[in-house]
Amino acid sequence: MTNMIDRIPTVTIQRVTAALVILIVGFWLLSGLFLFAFTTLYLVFIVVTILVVRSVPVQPGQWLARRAVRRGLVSAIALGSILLALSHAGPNDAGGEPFILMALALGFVFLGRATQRIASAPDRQVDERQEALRNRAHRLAYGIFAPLAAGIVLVTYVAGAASRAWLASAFQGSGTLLTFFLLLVFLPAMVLAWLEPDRLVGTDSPQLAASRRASLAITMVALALVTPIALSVALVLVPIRTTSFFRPEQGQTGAKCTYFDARAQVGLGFGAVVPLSAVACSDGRTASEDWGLNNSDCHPNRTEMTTVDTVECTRTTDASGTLHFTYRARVRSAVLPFLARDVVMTLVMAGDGHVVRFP
Amino acid sequence: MTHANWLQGSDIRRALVIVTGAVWGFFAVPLPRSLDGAGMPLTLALLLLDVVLGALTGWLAFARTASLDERQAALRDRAYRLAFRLILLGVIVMVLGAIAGSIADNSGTPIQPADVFGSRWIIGLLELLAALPTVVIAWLQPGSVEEAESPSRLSPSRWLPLIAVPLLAALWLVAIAALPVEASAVRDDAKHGLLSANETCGHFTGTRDVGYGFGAEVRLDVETCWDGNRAYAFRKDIYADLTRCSVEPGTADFARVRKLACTETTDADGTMHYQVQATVQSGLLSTVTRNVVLELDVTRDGTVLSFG
Repeated sequence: MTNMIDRIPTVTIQRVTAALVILIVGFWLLSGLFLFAFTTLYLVFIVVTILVVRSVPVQPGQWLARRAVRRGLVSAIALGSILLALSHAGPNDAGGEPFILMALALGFVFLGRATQRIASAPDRQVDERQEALRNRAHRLAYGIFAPLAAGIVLVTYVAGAASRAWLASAFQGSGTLLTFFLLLVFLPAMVLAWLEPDRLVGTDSPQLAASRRASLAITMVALALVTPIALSVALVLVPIRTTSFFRPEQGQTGAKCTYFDARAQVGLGFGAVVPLSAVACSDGRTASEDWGLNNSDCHPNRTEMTTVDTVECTRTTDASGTLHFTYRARVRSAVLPFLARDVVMTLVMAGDGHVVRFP
Repeated sequence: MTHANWLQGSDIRRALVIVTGAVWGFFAVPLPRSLDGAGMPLTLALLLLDVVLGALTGWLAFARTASLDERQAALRDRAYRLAFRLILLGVIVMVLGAIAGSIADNSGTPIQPADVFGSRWIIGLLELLAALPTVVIAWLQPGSVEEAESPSRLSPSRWLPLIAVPLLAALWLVAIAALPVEASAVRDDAKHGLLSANETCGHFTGTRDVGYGFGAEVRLDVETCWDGNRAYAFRKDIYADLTRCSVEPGTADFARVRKLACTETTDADGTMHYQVQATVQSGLLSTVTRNVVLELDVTRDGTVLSFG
């Protein structure tokens, strides 16, 4: 069967899609290069890992050659996808989704191995049986995906203003949108893994020679999965690095003012920067806030794969005229949400303008 | 070439595919910013093209495997594989279209997420999901002599789905003219001091949505202030028009908003009466209309007498 796509193999749907994805991701990475330094590096590493993994031929191996194991894997991925779709992004857009994504990423690596990645392989790399099988898998996957996606989109859009608003927010980035794209890419492979019968195992099955690239791919996958976990643990183990200074500031007539600036950096790579930047003044008897010591000032400066909750943000002036300000933030790992660390920023200024404690 | 052959030719099918892609482009890219009621005629055109393509391909995409020979089954399954990849490509094109649209737009108003992910986007996405296998088959299917001479080519059952076009049009006209209008009313917390310390202001946003997202939205958007002597609509600060009387981009793609009028009066007690009136007109039949009224009455001490 010939068609235009066959006749012009240099322009394929995959290549056009890949070019557009690279365009979008490239712009995004460039725009965020300096803002999200470590996350950007990590994502670049993930992309390189995917490219390396895809360049290595795979065989299912003893376990994944079994249909029951493959079906269990597909069920686990389906469950993870449902959880991801239902998860809500928390503060700073990181509400438990990263952990599910990591588990799914591992599942997709196994899925590729189980199906020898024939669902997305170039035409020249598949035989006639595989071609027929993957086409059938795509048809069945389409039958699952299209009615599900179209039904959800149409019903939520027509149902009412609230569901319409949810849909608009989902389109702008959420677990639901991620699930949509993941299923678009991986659902045919999932169907393929479900359909394929038990394969030959043991001495009769074809074996691939071990290669350096295969070892590199395994190492990179392991590193990609271990890095977020290790950095989440580092969040609670690595000492908090705090930089601070204060200096006299021009104030109102007769007032003695001081500018305070502090930054507490929590974690390594994946972490947060909790700032305190304010001016407090003293008239000789009472210290008071000029700016920067309000509820609206208690928020993190930068977060990467963490959520930051304000536990305490209080400002009081006692009977002796001393100003007390406390900002306590809880930095929680988005990958392992049970790991958290409190950061406390304190400013105490005596009524005569003397700095008692900072930060 | 006979008349029958002309209808079955792969060239005409490919031409229809290109036309379908061009019509889809109106939904995929948010330019022009507003379709001003043309959304529904374009949707019906898209549906018509889909049905014609379906009929010309013998509804191969939806045929049962048992009714197909080996060649047809192989073509259908291959089309589904290509269609699956084209969905991803199509969604990426829609995202890029939204970005390009916001860059190319010269109106000075940034494109908001609601403009991009509104009814146009939904139709564009639904078209991808529902019609792509048929579109791909129409592109790939060779024009065979046997099929051109097949009597089933013109059988009524093959063309019966065309009835979906007038049915959808009728359903939509009923939704515009008779079905309940969705209403919402949101009041932001009152705040102090837009002009002076002794006045208080609050923002009131009310909407009437005709056509369940696939029609038009009429909006009341008023920054109301009161100072004990009178209530009034505060119109402009240094950043933006806080009280607006306009049709927002992306809210009237499928039906037109005509005769939009916002009136503000203050009675002797200092109570402000603000009213928005508009006529929502179907983009298909100008005689199918719906009058919409939104009201906001606020006393001089900030008591809301009516809203919505």
